[in-house]
Amino acid sequence: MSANGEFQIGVAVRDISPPQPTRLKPTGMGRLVPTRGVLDPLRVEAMAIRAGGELAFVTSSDLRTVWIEWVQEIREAVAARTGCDPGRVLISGTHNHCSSPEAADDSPEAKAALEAANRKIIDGFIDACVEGAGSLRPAEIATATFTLREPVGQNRRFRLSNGTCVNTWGSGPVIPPGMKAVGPGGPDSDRADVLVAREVGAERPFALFISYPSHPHLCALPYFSGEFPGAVKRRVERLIPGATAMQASHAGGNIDLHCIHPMPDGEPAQVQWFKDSAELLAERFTRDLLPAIPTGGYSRPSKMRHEYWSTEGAEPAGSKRLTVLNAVALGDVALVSMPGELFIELAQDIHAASPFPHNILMGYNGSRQGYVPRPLGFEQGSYEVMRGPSLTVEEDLAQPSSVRSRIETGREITAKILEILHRLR
Amino acid sequence: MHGNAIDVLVNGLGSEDRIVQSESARLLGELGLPRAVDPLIEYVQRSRFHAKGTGFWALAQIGEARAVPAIRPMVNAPNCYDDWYWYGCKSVRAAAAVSLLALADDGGAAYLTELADKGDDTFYAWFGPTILHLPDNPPAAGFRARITTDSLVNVGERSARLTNPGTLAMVAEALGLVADDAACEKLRELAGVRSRYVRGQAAVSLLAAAPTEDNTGIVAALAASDATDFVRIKAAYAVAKAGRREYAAAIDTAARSAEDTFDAATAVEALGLLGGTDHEATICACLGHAEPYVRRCAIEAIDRIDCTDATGAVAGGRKDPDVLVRLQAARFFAAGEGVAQT
Repeated sequence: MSANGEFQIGVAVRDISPPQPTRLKPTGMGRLVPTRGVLDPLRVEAMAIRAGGELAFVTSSDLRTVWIEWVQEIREAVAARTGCDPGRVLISGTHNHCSSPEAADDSPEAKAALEAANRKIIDGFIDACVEGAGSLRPAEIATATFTLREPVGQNRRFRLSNGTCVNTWGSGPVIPPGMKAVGPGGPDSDRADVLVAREVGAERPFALFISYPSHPHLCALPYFSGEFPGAVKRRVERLIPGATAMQASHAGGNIDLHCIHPMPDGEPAQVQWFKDSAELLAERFTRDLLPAIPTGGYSRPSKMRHEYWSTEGAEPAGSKRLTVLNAVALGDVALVSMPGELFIELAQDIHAASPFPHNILMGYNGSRQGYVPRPLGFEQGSYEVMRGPSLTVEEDLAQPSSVRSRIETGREITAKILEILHRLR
Repeated sequence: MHGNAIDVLVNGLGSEDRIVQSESARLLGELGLPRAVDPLIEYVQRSRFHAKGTGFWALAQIGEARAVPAIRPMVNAPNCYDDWYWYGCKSVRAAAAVSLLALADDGGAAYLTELADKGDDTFYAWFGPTILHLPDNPPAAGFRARITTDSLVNVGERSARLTNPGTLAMVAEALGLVADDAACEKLRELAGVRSRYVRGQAAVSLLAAAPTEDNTGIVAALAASDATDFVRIKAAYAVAKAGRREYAAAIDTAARSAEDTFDAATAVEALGLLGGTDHEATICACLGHAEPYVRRCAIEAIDRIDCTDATGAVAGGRKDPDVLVRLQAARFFAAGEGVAQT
């Protein structure tokens, strides 16, 4: 195999912690006050992959949201600096709710701090990709699927005896008088997948890309942090010296990390609880991840197949919805960048029906759909669907511009992903 | 889980599992045993989970005034995480306040007034039916009066009360208790919405409020031809409850054969609520169902239908692999023990 056609991988990391955190606050969970700082650094990671002379990038980030405008800028800049097809830059995030800053107030200083923070994020993606391309080296890959034996991500909807669901994040569900507590409103998140890269013939990997459905959402502390995914990455890198850990979330719409609540009162105790909880969950996660890292079965794919699909331009007038799907196939492995707020049942559907034996799903890629359950989830109610779709089909048709998903959205997205995967296979 | 059934439930309050705690409290409340007051007070004071609201309501159901001094401070100091943007902590505080009202104490009135003035879903939706069921005592009457068809359904643009099927099902239940013409009109509308759980509750509430010929026709049509088992079961139950007992046959069939186990459990629950022993065989058959929630509903239904010799049939539930089934079985046997041990 020629040097240009040889299978190669390179990885790089950039710090994307906000430079002026005290003028900002993380988005999500309704923070009321500016942050007091950064508990642990936020990161973006990039894995450059060359196969059959083709170049692609998969990225991961400690972000809650990656805006489509950023995705477009990142793709163009990475393409310009590496010669890669811009469509082959796969974006993802962990949907970490202690990141993705917004201005803490309306002051010019806060707005400037936000601009600087966002610039750092975008540049972080671009620079990590470019550095990853610059560090390409001969490599081989393997994948593994493992089951978590102890709770990490749990279903955050709880069913009541009238059939509806309530949320069970934080300190658990509310059970109104007269109702029986039925049980979880869906499956927990106990499956994770990992793509491992190592130098040819090496014992230890130099990169791991973890795919795990969750909603990092421990609590709304006024701090920036990588939360549970950040703790997993740090722990993996501590336990496997020289390795870069990446993690993406996907299909985390109905999954939270509430298995270690309740939380204490008062900020100092809550900060300690937060740190301890993230470490505990990371310990549970890595306890099952590390033995799952393959020792054999590595391959060096000789070609790369790729497909990009988006609803840009295809939505009806006024629609704010957007679906972006971006998939790369390497031998038996499919890497799929997709919307992030699907319910976990839909990821299970994709895994079950995919023509690829190994599927590394990565969400939060700039798509806008809101939460995407199966149709019954809309009927059960709760936070994710509390503002729609409408209660009647007629009302839905009269409001086509909602960002929120429709009854058929989950079926459409999973069908499109599977269609793409069948073509790539 | 052997031995004294009441102890099984009391011990459940100390479980590490917040749902086991909460279900134990709920079942102790149903039993109404004064002996459970102190453990329930300890539970609501200790637990930091939002599901402990069931403990306050259990104390209200037991009805011992000595619980009042323990509940009163918890309206403002509930010892749980304040998820101010959501309704978990608010519901714990409301549970304490509403329970005080049930005990004829107005120690939580200020907080409930605050919630009601804000149009909060905690007051109107999650606790609306409970408030409407409160006894006719002076502190409770004023709050019952605030829950009207207008206050339930006229909400601000930002409210999700009528778009979230979870809160809307509670509104439908409350409308059935308000039971005026406007409530019935709204319930007829809700009987046609997309969520089967709202349609089902609307059917039950509509006939509970006004079992007129027209309304019965609407609900009977749902029982016959709704697209979902759940609504057909609920509607059949509503019509049967209104006097047309022949509709129970469809519920019996659903209990045995519904594809969705939650629907099967709903059918078993409905057979229990209808009372009588006509469907005892079906209910007993469901004691062996693969789904624990169906087994729980079957034990509860046996309790309700007052069948002559159910002890043997339910006994297996005390060793069930599912802890919530064991609790339900304990509640069944505790009812017998409680008479002697209060």
